[in-house]
Amino acid sequence: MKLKLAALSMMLGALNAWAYQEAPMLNDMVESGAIPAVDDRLPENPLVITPVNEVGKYGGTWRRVEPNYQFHEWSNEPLVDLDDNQNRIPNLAESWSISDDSRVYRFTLRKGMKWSDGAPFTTEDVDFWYNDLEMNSELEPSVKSLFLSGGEPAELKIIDEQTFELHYKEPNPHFIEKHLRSTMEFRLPQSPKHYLKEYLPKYMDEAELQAKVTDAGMTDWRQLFQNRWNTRSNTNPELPVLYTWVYDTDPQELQQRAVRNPYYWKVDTEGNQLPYIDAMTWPQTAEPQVRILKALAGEVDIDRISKLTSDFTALKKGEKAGNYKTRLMDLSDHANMLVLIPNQDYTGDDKEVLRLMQNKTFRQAVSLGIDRDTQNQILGVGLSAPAQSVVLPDAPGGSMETTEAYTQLDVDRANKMLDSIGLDKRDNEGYRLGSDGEPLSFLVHFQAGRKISEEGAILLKADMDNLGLRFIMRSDEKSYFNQIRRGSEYQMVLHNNTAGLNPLFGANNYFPVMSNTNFAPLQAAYYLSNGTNGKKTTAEMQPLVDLYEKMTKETDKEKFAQMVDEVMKIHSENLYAIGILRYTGSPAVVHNRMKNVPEKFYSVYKSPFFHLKEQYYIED
Amino acid sequence: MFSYILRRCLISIPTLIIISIVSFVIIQIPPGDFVDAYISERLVIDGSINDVDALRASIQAELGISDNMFVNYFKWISGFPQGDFGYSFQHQKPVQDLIWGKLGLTFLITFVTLIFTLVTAFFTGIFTSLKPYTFFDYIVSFFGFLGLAIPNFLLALLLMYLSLDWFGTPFSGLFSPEYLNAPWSFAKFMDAMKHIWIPVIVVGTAGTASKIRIMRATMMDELHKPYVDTARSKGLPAYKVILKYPVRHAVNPLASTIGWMLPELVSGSAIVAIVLSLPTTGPYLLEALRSQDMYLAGTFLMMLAVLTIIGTLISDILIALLDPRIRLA
Repeated sequence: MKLKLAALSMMLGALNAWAYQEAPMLNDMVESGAIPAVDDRLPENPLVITPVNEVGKYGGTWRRVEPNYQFHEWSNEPLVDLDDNQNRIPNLAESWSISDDSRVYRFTLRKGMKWSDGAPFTTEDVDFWYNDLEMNSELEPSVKSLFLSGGEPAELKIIDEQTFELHYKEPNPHFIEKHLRSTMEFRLPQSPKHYLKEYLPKYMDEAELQAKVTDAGMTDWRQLFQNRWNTRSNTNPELPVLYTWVYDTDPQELQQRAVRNPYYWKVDTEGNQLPYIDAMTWPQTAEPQVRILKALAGEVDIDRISKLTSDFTALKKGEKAGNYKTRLMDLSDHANMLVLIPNQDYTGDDKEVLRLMQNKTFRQAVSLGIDRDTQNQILGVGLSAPAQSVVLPDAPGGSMETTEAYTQLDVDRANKMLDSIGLDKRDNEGYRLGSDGEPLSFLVHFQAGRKISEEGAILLKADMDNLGLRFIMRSDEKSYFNQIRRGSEYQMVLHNNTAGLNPLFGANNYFPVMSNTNFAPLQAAYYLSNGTNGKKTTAEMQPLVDLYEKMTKETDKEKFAQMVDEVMKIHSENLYAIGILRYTGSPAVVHNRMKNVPEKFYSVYKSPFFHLKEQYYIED
Repeated sequence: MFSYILRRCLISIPTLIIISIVSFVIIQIPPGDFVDAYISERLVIDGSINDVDALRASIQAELGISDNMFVNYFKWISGFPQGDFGYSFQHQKPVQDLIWGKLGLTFLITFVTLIFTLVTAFFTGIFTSLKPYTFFDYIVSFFGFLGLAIPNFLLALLLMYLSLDWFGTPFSGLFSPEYLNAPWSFAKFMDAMKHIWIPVIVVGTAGTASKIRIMRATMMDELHKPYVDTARSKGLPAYKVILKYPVRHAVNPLASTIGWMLPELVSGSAIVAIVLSLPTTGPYLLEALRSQDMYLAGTFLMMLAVLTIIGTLISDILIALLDPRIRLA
């Protein structure tokens, strides 16, 4: 019986294989002979997507308004994806297996799958992407942590045309979640060997390549290669990809466009090749005010309109006239939109400031003195929540206890705590003097142009004035701000914490092990350089480093959550970073003509930015 | 006359060289550069990069830049005679492939605004000076001062909001959607002309007000001079009296302002262009400066400097033509 069923389903499968339909615009191209028939374009086993509400209709253009640079981010096609419940589901790979110790990852690609120009996509491309691009020290001077374990890059083994394995030296249980996060991390879907090898010295005659470089008005082959590879922005409309829509315009055009990939490898439950929507357009530039006005005029189908929650009301008001619905896109993998980070490794001159920043009681007093409710009303229109800089309460290892530690405003207690650590004398303006009797002030850097920091800085200063602490808030232009943060001479920075689900993704927020760890930059440099640079890890911080090393190798989910909890308890007690507020959503609009849009269209770990975007359709 | 123009052109060469040095140095004064910004971006994604210096050296080698400002400067400026303006890091393209389209539209908007400002100022200046302290004079002055007082970007925002309210679509950009990516044609030009009035009015209002006042003031000075009375008493028709004598005097200060009006219009239009999303140099320059894309930003600044020099030259020639008293010594 079982055998019969299997045979029947195989027959049905075979039937299915000859029952694919395609978009009218592709049908025309088939008839003119420009592309092969749909059955020949799809892989033998296309990914079947179940539409959110119903099978859709072909056609239409998705009008967007967020400018250029994000297109690739939003197109990402990982090997293995996550569904709404964070279960792993097939995507580029039709199947996969992970060894029990999480050292060996085996992926099987779809047989007969093709790049957007019709060339076959096989493990040869994987080999090229991994060995010739990611492991090429001329393109990538240091190997990404995604491919590293135990200090060594993983080894790629090609099994056959569809199957490959990544062998790590040590357990690496987070590869799947990590490779989902960004196209900068995982660039396989835009690395076709047959196209890109023309621009790589390994495969090309040197003189010929140099001629190409000179023709393009460039000086170095890498300039041309990065340009062809679309790594920094959209620069090359010719690059074959595996994405839903293929970038199609000159980068200098005012109206940017991507059109459907005729070889897209997903179908709906009735065998219609996806996507339903023909093309996507977005402007080359659009100022925030213009985006809001365009949304109000109903000229945006789906997009994030603003990063400020407070713009929600303006958009909500225009819903009827503009024929759209306003939604909040949750940044559900981010932790805090505002965090004050004292530098434990401060190397500047003010020893009293260093003493205080290293004092747990001082940090706790500062935290107790912050009026988070007012901050919430102003920065988050009341939709945010006060929180320490720890993972979200419903994330594995998160809890309300760690979230709410020292977040309740208590000025009396804070004042007493400050008095108890030698700050009981004040100057004639009411500001506290240092324990040495000298005037005391703290310099806080924040990023200019980041609205949340700018407004938060004003409120924070007022709160600190209330405690008699003189905080000087300094706004620095973005790249300068980042430069300051990479050094060790700053006293405090006011920024965010992006790791709200898994503390390893954005480990700089929790562990002194990353080059942009703001609470202990020198100890991080020490860890990264194996002890040649920076400052030796203190006994106080050592537990964090130990936990970090254990967590990167832990395959058991429960044990992992326990360790997360441990880390969060250390942070909620020591407050190496003083959390202020949780993130709030960004206002987005969904036009009423857009159908099949899921309730939650901004999925965790950033990928894909628009969840299930291939099955949205337009009903005019 | 010819030798005068030639001499002026020759003088402008050292001026341009100095401008190029100053603008290049100013672009590089803020701490950090494009490579820094790029590294920061990389570190946000993958903070485990240990050897930041190696990454830095690799990107510098790729982009062909060094830490030494003078080396970078000479590399850039030595390409100018061949029309090679360097490489845009952000767009990953040679600069000369990027700037011409934007500059063309900037010149178009600036030119139309200049004509609009001068023509409006010329006629309203004459009329208000002939009937000073009347209702018409007060109305014109009121709107003129209003234009002067309202910041350009605010006016642009207001007009955008009103156009959304009245026409159901916000005015932004310079083209209708169907012409956005179309090649240049007469139809596209006419389409641009339909949209151009908003930036022209927004950028032009402030300049117009002051020009009207200048025109009005010099006209009123001249109108009471004895030679006007003499001309009248000899029986010349009123329009001839006014146009032939006082107007010729009054137009001089107007013509001499063209030189500094041009760069003022270009820089004034930058903010408006950003607000209105116009495809001109303004937003581009800002973006280039923000991302420290030094060759692109420097080239834009150079082009604007050239514009200023041309403007000054035009206004000098105009004055020479208008006023025979000026000697071209």
